[in-house]
Amino acid sequence: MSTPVVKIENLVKRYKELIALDHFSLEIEEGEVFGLLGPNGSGKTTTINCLLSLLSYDKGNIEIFGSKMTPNNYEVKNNIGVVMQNVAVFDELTVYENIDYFCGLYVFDKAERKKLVEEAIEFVGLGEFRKFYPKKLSGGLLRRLNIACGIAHKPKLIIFDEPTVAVDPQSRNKILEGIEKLNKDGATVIYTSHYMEEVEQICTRIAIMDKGKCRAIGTNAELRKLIHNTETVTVEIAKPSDDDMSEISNLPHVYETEYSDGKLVVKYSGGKHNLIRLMNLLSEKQYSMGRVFSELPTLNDVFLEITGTALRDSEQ
Amino acid sequence: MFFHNFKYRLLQTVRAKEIMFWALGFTIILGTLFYAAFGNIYESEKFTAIPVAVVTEKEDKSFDELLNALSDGDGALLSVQYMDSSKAYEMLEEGEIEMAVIVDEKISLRIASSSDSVSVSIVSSVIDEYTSKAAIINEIAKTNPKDLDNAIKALSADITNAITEHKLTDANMNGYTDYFFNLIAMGIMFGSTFGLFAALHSQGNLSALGARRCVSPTKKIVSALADNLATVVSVFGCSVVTIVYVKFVLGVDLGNRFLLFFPTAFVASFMSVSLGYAVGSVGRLSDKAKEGILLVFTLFGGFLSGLMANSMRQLVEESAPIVNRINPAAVLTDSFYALAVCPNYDRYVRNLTTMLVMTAIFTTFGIVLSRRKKYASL
Amino acid sequence: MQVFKLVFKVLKKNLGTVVMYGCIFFTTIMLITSFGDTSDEYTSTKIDVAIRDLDNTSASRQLVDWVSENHNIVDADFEDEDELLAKMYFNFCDYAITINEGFEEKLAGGNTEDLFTVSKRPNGYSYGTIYFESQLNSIVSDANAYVAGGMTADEALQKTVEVLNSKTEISFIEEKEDSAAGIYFNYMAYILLVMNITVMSTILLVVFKKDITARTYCSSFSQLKYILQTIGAVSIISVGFWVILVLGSLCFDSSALSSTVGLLMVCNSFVFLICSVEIAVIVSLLVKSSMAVSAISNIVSLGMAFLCGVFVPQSVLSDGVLSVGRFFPAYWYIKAVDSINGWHGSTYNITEITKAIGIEAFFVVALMAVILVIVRSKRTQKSL
Repeated sequence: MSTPVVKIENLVKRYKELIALDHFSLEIEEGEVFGLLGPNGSGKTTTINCLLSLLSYDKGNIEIFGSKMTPNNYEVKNNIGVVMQNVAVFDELTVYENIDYFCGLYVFDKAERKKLVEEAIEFVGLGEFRKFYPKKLSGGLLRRLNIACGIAHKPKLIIFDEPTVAVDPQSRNKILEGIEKLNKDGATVIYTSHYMEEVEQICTRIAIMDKGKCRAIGTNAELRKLIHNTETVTVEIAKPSDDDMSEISNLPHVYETEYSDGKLVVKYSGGKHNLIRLMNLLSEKQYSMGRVFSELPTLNDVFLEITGTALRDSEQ
Repeated sequence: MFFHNFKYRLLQTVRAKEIMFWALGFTIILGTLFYAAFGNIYESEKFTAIPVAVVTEKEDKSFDELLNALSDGDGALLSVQYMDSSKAYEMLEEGEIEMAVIVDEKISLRIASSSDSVSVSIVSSVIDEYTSKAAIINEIAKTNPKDLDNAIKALSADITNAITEHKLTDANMNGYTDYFFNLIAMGIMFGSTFGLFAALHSQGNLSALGARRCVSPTKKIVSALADNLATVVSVFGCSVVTIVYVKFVLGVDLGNRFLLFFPTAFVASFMSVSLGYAVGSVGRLSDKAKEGILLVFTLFGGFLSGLMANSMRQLVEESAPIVNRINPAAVLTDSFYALAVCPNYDRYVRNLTTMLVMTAIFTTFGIVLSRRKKYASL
Repeated sequence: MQVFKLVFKVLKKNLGTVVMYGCIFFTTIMLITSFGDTSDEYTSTKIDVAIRDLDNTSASRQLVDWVSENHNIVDADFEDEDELLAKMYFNFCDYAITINEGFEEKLAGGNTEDLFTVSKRPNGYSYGTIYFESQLNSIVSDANAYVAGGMTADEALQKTVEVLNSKTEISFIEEKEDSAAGIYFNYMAYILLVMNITVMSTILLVVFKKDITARTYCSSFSQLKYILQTIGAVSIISVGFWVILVLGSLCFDSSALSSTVGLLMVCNSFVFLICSVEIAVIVSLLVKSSMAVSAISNIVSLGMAFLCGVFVPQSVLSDGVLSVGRFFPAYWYIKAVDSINGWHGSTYNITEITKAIGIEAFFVVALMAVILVIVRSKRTQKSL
């Protein structure tokens, strides 16, 4: 096996009493889009900051590109691009100047830098705004500028720390597409978010974090396999009698049935043809049905089952 | 509603650490520094015998006697060493003695640029007196010898009652106290920043916070009043602490009417907050520019009223008195001065009236500027 | 040179604020200097006297003439006692004297009682006033002796003044050029500090903004280069200010900079300038908001000014204050200024001056070390 791009071993970070990271370990291979998923306060940003040597940590070991990460490891830093959670740009500089400045911290050759900056502007689609000051940009454009500043020097490892917070769906899609494109061009990506859909959409591998621990790790499909639920069927229907309800519960692979608001929800663990069996039963009993959906489990379900809580959205 | 606003504005100002630091912490630190710098000044005027070298080129017995008398005993004026001129100049250069007295046909002094001018004056006046008395006796002995005895008697008589002192005030303080008046005033003037924030936070076109408050159903006049009152209370609170600190911890003499400092500080807090509110209500300027304007009022105004050099206010008074009438910092400082030093209330009342008028002007200005409820642009 | 250029771009954006502060501080130093105390070098102690002659006889006029020749006459309205008191309180006037009616008559009759009514400063028993009072007494005594020796009061006073004017000859052991710009350079310590901290940190706070610093530290740009370029750029800006300040001294003495004394002062203030730039950098590294910066800048600048003898001469400060002051560069700056000008009991001594400037240079190095330590420790923090 080749050296992993990022290797975190037994990382422990305490803020006074609070344990932000509790023996956290992780390996990321080249070419991956790795998702760090977890609610606010689960330790995603702390992990990233430790990874970048911005934060000191109490225990553990971090290697990037096979060499130990230290504040002075400029060789490694040269190959990293960071897009922070907060927009970190100069209000005093224009879009172009901002990207040029940050790119200039990595690339000293002027001509080469000019090319890179133009590419970055093109990449995030800020062409018509290059002379604008950040204060004049909308939230979504500002995020894109923030990204451009982080990736202009074409790093091999790019870290995105919640780049889509407070961004409209269009800009969000654009950002996600961009990340996929960067990955295709050869960059390894670390992506943190508390939005399930995003992570599901773009990540090749995902780690679920909660309270400073890694709760589960694997590809999208692997994670889904980890849980009980394989399929959820929802039927719009008049309320079945109690007898019929218990008959439904006794169908093969069913582990939970529930009726509320004119909807019957049946959950399965494993098995095939579950929907057909349920439909047959209900037609037999001569129920008239409205819409019928069958859903595969989502990461949200995975998360719910692994951590026992829904994704907390606002607590910090 | 009023008290709700009042309470939260008070909490907000008290917890605004940086502004609190200005109005309170900074004044206390600076006060302590003033104390450290000036506490020693009276002592430095206490007397120690002046070290003098005497170089005798020509014998003068009676002058030697005079020197002996002056360098004798506990409260001696001089400490005399006899030596030759080269040694004396060397010591003078090293600063070991203040001056060299050369006794020749005439008595003269050699000094260095570092010599203390007061000591030089004292010694030269001693010599002057000696030579002038000798001159008088010579003169009268020549022109009118029959009255010589009378003249000598008159010369040796002590003149004690020629001068009657008329005290201008009973206050017993010197110009350095003015630094402390300035200091208390500066603390209050920094309160204008509180007023600035009260304005910025209340107006929709000035801040997001203001916009949020504008859409609430509270009447603007009520919230503005509550805001300003709470701000005044916190500024006044800070000034009380400063005054108490200066008076009781540092032990600076603030005069017999020092209790009147408190109501004065209260009026001044109103003036300062309304100034900040008025400046804050001007729509067009950036926040930085507004802070800059207030900085000019506090620090530059303070400088003109004597914060950095205590005689500045009097200098302004003599060259451009109008500046002292319209500089809030000077008016305020001067009312503390009037309370502590002046024997009557004339000057104090004039200053107090000026402050009230200023408060009225600033308040009107602030209200007029902040009355609008809709804005052309945000 | 990315960071270096960045500083100038930020400066360009904030030029308005920077120029505003520059003007305020430049005006301040001009004003302080033009009104500041002159050196206390010996010129025969002249005190500031307000005088009113109610007798208005030839004897009393002779006395007035003598006072105006030997002391500084201050205009004052004796009726407006508040104003007179203010003049005395603020050291504009040391002594107010009224020659009472009947002065000549009494003197002629050998009566020395109640000739003058005087007012002094509240708590103002300075050497100067005691000296003046003793001069008055000896005039009365001498005149009285002449009268006893058979002269008229008028003649007696004329003789007395004549004798009094043949004063002891006082000469200096050394020749010294006195630069009026000395006071200007003295106050420059305060101005350099307050201006550098206020102005430079306006710029530096932008450069050191938290999120941006984090981004910079993540990059492959060396931290040492980063901080050195920043300091370099900021220094160039403040050198610009300093040049204007130094040229400002020419307003007070057009030959101020051409003498050795002038060059020493310029040299001294340059070393101190670098110290104050470094202090500004430290403040900006440690402080987050512009409000806090203005607080710190005033504490540091006024604090140093008072502890180190900028506003109040070191010779007047207590030993306790001075032993604290020694740990600040401003103390050595002022020590050098005092020695260069031979003020406040110190003499012009090139060894002393070099030593003081040398210690300032040492502070330059020490402060640089402090900056590097802070930068190093900020790179990887316990919490962000």
